Formats: sequence, C-alpha cells, structure tokens
Amino acid sequence: MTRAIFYKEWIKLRWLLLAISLVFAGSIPYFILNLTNKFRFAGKPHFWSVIVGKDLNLISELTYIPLLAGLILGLAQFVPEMQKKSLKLTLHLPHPEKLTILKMLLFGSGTLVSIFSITGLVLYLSLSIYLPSQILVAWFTAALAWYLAGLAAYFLAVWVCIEPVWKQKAINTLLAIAVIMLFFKGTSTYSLQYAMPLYIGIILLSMCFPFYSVFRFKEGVQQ
Amino acid sequence: MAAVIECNNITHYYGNRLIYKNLNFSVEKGKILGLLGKNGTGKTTIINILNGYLKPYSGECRLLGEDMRSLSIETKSKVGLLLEGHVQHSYFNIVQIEKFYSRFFKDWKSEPYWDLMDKLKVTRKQKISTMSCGQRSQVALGLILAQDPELLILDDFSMGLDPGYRRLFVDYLKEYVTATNKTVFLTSHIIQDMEHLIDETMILDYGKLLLHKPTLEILDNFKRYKLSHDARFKLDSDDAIQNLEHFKSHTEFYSFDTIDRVRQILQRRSIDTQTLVNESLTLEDAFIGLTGKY
Amino acid sequence: MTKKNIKTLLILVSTALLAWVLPWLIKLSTNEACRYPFTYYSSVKNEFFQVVKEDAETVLMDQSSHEYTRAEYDSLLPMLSYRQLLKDGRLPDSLNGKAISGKSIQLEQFYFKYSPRDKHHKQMDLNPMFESMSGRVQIESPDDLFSIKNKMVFIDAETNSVLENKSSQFHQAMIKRGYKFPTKMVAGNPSTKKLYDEGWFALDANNQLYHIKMVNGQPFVKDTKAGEKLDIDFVKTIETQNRRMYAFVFDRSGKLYYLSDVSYEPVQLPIDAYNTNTDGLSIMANPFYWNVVVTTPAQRITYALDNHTLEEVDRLTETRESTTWEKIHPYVFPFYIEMKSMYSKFVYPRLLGWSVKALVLNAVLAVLLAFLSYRRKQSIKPLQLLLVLCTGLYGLIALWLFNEKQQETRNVIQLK
Repeated sequence: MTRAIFYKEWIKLRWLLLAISLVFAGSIPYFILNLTNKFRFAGKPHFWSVIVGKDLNLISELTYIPLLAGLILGLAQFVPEMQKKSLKLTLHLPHPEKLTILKMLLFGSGTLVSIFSITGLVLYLSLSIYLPSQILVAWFTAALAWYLAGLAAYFLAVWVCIEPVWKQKAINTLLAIAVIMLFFKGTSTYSLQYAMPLYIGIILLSMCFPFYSVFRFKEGVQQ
Repeated sequence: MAAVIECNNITHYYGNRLIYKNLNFSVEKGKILGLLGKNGTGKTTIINILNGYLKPYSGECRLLGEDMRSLSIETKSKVGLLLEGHVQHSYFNIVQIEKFYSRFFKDWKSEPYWDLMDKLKVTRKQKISTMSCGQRSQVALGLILAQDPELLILDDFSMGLDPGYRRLFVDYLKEYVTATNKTVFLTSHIIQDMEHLIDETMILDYGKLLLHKPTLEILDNFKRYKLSHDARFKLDSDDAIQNLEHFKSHTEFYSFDTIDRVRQILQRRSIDTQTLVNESLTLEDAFIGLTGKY
Repeated sequence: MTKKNIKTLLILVSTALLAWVLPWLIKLSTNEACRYPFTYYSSVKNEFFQVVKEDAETVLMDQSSHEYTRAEYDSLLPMLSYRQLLKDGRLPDSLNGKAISGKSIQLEQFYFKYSPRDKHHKQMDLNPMFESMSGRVQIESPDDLFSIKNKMVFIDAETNSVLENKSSQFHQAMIKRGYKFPTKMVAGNPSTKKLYDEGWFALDANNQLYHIKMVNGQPFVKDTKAGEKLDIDFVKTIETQNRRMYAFVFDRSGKLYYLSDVSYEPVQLPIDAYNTNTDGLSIMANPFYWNVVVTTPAQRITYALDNHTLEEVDRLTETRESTTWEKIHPYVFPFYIEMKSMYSKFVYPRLLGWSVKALVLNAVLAVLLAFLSYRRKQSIKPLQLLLVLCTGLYGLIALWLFNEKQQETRNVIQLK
C-alpha cells in the first residue's frame, strides 16, 4: 500500500518534480559558466583572492530556490487534497490514517531531499574542478541552511494548507514565516554553522505540525 | 437483523446554532435509506459524523457495529464512500485511479468498474479533471462498486447530474444493490427518481428529524386533502393535520390519517367536510407536504 | 503522537518564536543608537576634548564644557589635524619641547581597532603568503593561497592543485621549529596595499605563537616565545611606519599587549581588565599619546597613555545611558532570544536578559488566564498557568494562538 500511496503522489507531482529537478540541474552549468567567466576576466589567482578576501559566495543566487521548491511542492501536493475536501477520500482508505499522511509527507520530503542532495553533490563535484575544498566547504555550509529552509518550508506549507479554518491558517502562516526567517539570518559564509542543530530541530518539529492540521480536519473544526 | 448503522442521541451545534438534538436512527442490512432534507438541514453533517469526519457535540454512531470515532481498517474497507459532488482524485485518469484503489482492497472487482467505464465516452488517458460532472459520477460509482463494500454511503449523489445520468446512476445502483443485498445510506435534495430507489425515507428539517418511515408507507398513507372553501382553523403541534395552506377558493393540508379520521377531526372543529377529498402523492409532493415550500 | 501532544509542541515552539520576534519588534520601534562622542587627548592643553553633536551642529568641547570654533579645534588637536595645519602653514615646529614635522608625526602615528566580531567569526582557511623581501615598493599578490589548519598546504589557483614542493618546504620548516598542528588561529593582513609585509602569526595546537613568512621564496618560521609567557586569547597584526610592533595580543586574563619588534617581547598596556568577547577597542597613536578607547557594554573608558613609557597620563570614564528597551524589558519579559549579536558574526539562539522582576507581570497574566478560563466555563489547566508564569506574554499569546473555540465535547476522534 506504500507503493500505491507513492504511486498516487507520483502521478500528482511528477511534472512538478521534473520541473524542480530541471531548475536545480540547470543551475549547475549556470554556476560553472558564471565562475569560468569571472576567471577569464579577472584571472584565476586574483579571483581566488577576491573570493577569500571579500567572503564572496558565487552560489548565493541559489539562496531562495530551495525555499521556493519546498513551498511549491508542499502546496502542489496538498492543495488538490483540500479541494472539495478530497483528503476525506485519502483518510477513508483502509490504511492507518497517520501512516497515510506520513507516507505522503515522506514522498514529498524524500523527493525534495533527493533532488537537493543529488544536484548539490554534482554541483560540489563540478565546482571542485576549479576551486579548492576550503572555498567550497564554506559555500556549501551557507547553502546547507538554504536547503534545510526548503525542507522546513515544505512541512510548514503542508501544515498551513491542511488547516481547515482560515483564521488559524493566517496564524500558522505568520508563525511559518517567522520560522523560515530563522534560516536566512546569515551574513557571511560561515555565520550559520552553529545554527545547523537548531535548523535540524526545526525540521523534525515541523514534520509533526501537519498532523495537527489533519486532526483538526478530521474533527471537522469549523469557524 | 443487525443494524448496519446505528446512531444514538446525536446532538450537534455549529457555533450556537443547533443542527439537531438527540437524533436517533438505525439502518438495517439490505435496506436503501434515503436521508432527504432541504439545503442546510445537516445532511452532509450526518454523513461526516458517520464517517468520523466531524466530532459531534454529543452522542455516538456505530457503523457495522463499530464506533465511528475510531473505525478500524477492516470496517473502512467495508464502507464505500461517495463524497458530495462525486469528488475523486482528479489528476488520475481512469486506468490510474483503478490501479491506485485496487491495491487497498482485498476483494477488488474490476469488472463492474470497467463495465461502467465502457459506457462512458471517455478515453483511457483522459484525466478525471477534464471530465463532465456526469462522467465523474460514473467513475466514482464504478470505484465504489469495484470496492464491493457492505455499506454504501452516498452524499448528495444527484447533485449536478442531468436527468439521463441521474437515471443511469439510480438504475445501476438499484440493480446492483438488489442483486447483492448491500446496505445504502444516501442523501439527496432532489427527490425525483428517489421513490424507485429507497426503501426507507428519513426527512430532516431544521433542528430535527421529521420522519423515518418505509417509503411505501409514506406513498400509501400520506395524502393531500382539499376543502373547496376557505376554512380557517388553527393547528396543534401534534395535530394529525399538517402544513395547512389557504387559497382563495380552497384549503389544502396533508395527513397520514384516513379520510374518515380526518373528517372526524374537522367536524370536531365544526368545519364543513362535505367537499373534503384526498389524493395520492409522489415522494416529492409528500416531501413538500411535510417540510413546506419554504 | 496525539493531537494534544502536537498542540503542546506547537504552543512551546510559538512561545520560543515570540520570545524572539516580540522583543525584536519592540527594539525596532524604540530604536535608539547609543553613540559616545568622539574623544581625543589634546597634546596642547593636555586634557580630553570631545566632538559633541548639538542640534545637527558639531561642537568641540573641553572637559569644563567650554566650546571652541573649527579653527581652534585644529590647533587644539594638532596631532589629529596636522595635515590641515600643514596646508594652512599653522603646524608649529615644536610642541611640548619636542620638534615636530608632518613626517615625524606620520612615523609615530597608527590606528588600531578590535571588535569582538573579529574573534567570533570564521573565515575560509586560505590566505596569500607574500614575498616579504621582494625589494619592490608594491607588494605582489602570489598565484597561490595557503591553508594552515591541519597542515601547511599551498594551492595553485591556475591549476587548482597542491604545490607539493612549496607545501612540504614550509610544512617541514614549521615542524622543525616545533609547530604543532592543527592551527588554532592565524593572524595577518592579506592586503597588498599595506606598508610592508611581515607574513603571518599563527597560534599552534599548544597555544604557541609562531611568526611565519616567506623571505626570498624560502620559509621563515620563528617561535615568538610569547606563548610561553602569555595564555594567548587573540592576536591581531598591525603595520606601523616606525615598525615598533608586530601585533596586539590579548591574553585570557584580560590583559592587552603588543608584540614589540625587539625579539617579539610582549609589552603590556596599563588598562583595566579587558574582555575580548564583549569589549571593543580602538587605539589612535601619535608622537605624544596613545588614545586607547575601551568600550564595554556598560561604559567607555578613554585612556591617554604616554607614547614612550606607555604610562597612563589621564583617563575619561563615561557610562552609557540605558535605552528604553533596556529599561522596560526586565519588567515585561522574563527573558528574550536573539539570533544575532553585536559581539559575534555567528547566528544561533541566545537566551538573554533573564529577569526575576518580570515574574510580577507573569503572575498577573496567569491570574488573568485563570479568570478568562473560569468565565468561559473552561477548565483551568495548571500546565498552562505554569507556562504563563514562566514565560509571561510569550506563553499567553502562544496559548491564545492555538486556543480552540469549539465546544469542549466528550467525543474525541482518533487517527489510526
């Protein structure tokens, strides 16, 4: 039945997942071209010094992309479930309800993590042709926070989306925005390195939030 | 015979608005029960409570002997649910959706589904979201039939269907249920076609259950009475005479009682009963007779 | 995982978020920047002068609040304004019995600045090793950068590969001098626009301070022995015209030294205990005095030290006035959370401003909550009261955000 649930999510999300994958995959040649271009104009040694001296992060254009990806995926997965309350159909399946939701969340977050990690790894390996690990580790320390923000945004979007009452939806949205803001407080490449445990904690907590909305949906809470 | 659905003392409010107080009813196996009521009388609310999608203020329902607040997986697989508006996952096509649902049910029967699908003018790759309301209703029905449940719960299945599809739905359902001894609990606000389908009728009015009787009993006994003059009198709350209406040239009212008994009641109020006549009603007329036009 | 558990979780998370957001919003609305006036020790009058802003007009004042004009300003602070005085032809030939000229002032002059953010931040472990004896006026940028964390490695930018020979040459030289990896910190100035190059000062795993530079393409590694004398906390290098010092060194007991050009001998500055985690420092030196400004969270002390003996000549202590936020938060909030700090570039939650005084308000809010629950005929929940008692407004708002208005019923729907 896990396969059936994954099958449903796959049919629902495959085109979006393809689009997200393309954006992330497409960013890899973009970043490499961007870097080699700058090398050509400034010269490699000089540009290395600029990167180090000015704490430059050439993949910073990635900053909000994982956030958007998580947000859109979360909404695309659960807005159809909320249309005409068709989540009732899903919860009516002869399968434990919490497990059904958990598997749906696992599908969404799993695909997101796969896209992030595969494209992230390929980007790292491609850039390591041109740059030493000292620079790349710094860049990807900063980028890790952006990827984690995308994952948190996914769970928070689902939480807000399933919530049946509009007033509570608004409150949840504000809280979600506050949570997401925590991920974008970095000013230099390494400034978020001690915040990673917090971010992972937030993600683990926000995984539980959608279930609260499901409970409320199930109880038929209305204003 | 054991009750397939049993509801005891259901009381529910939306905010401070009372929907019903101490509602009691049960449905026996093999019966088709129609819950009729105007818009906003709480038909869907009952369906939601039955399936555990709403926490009633108090009271309890049992579905196939199980508490609706925690239905087991086995019970769920024995209950076929049709949501208001024939909602189904609209990003699937008819092949994909059959493949999806078939994995969840041990006794999945594809034939009735494909029988029904073959009658539709849809391609196998057409997404449900691009289908008409009538076509979607057939997909939803086909899935429930394939699930082969013991109990079918159909919420306002007639909504948005043109007469052809409505008739198709009713005929198919009747044939299936009669052949397989299933129990059906359905709601509708369109009463046409219903008298061929439902064995028992429950009529909801704002705040209360008006009536719960076998459909035949209603059709046989519930009559419209006419007096060809304007007779003014007042009704008691437990009067056998219901829904009194005055017109310029005549007076109309309804009653479950025989014409002799009605005559007695009127004579007790010193009303001339010489012109009293009665007529048989369709279920729709009876519904209006019971609930009024407003 | 029940609904109640998740709700509790949501309320706690919201409480923490509010402890961060609410104080931030209040600070934003009562934004008051605290600025001390610019202070400089006059070598003419031998007292502190301050540049005070009065109604958008800047005024020079002495300690008895006497005001001076712009022209007076320049001649009262000739060490600060010597270039203007030179241009006007007003620079005296001698001052306090000492001959002065533009050149001699320049030679003795330097500016040094330290902020706790220098210590609390992390940079990429890559730096340029300049040729210290190139014989050229302009310092030239090398084609490689070195990493010093776990071993000494030079990486060539053109090929993005390790320069094996150079790396092992430097690494061996360091090991030979007793250097222990991993490196704790490295201090230096990676700019090519500096007066001269003295390479890098690195603190090794044993807390010993080494001087590492490249002379004629060869490694120059020397144990400064400063690590034996001091428990070094932080090092920041400086280049001065007179090459009197290599760097300023902060030790862990709150003392400040400079490493003199004479065999790296640490020379202590006679200032009060210094905290590298919270105190800012700036030094403006001239041929007569060092103006040493130490800004702690509560006050600013400006020392005038004699340039030669480094003895304290004078000091000025100014205490900072509390901002509105600082005045109100102890009564309103039992604590608050900040993600950023003016003392660090690292972002992480910091629990600050613990205050017992806020318990009064918290108790009032807890009573209010109990009263409201009573009026709404809801049961009074001791854990909710405890939350409000401990977290005050944060907890109360969080409870309100997740308050379910639906009638309490005996029926609970369970998710399987």
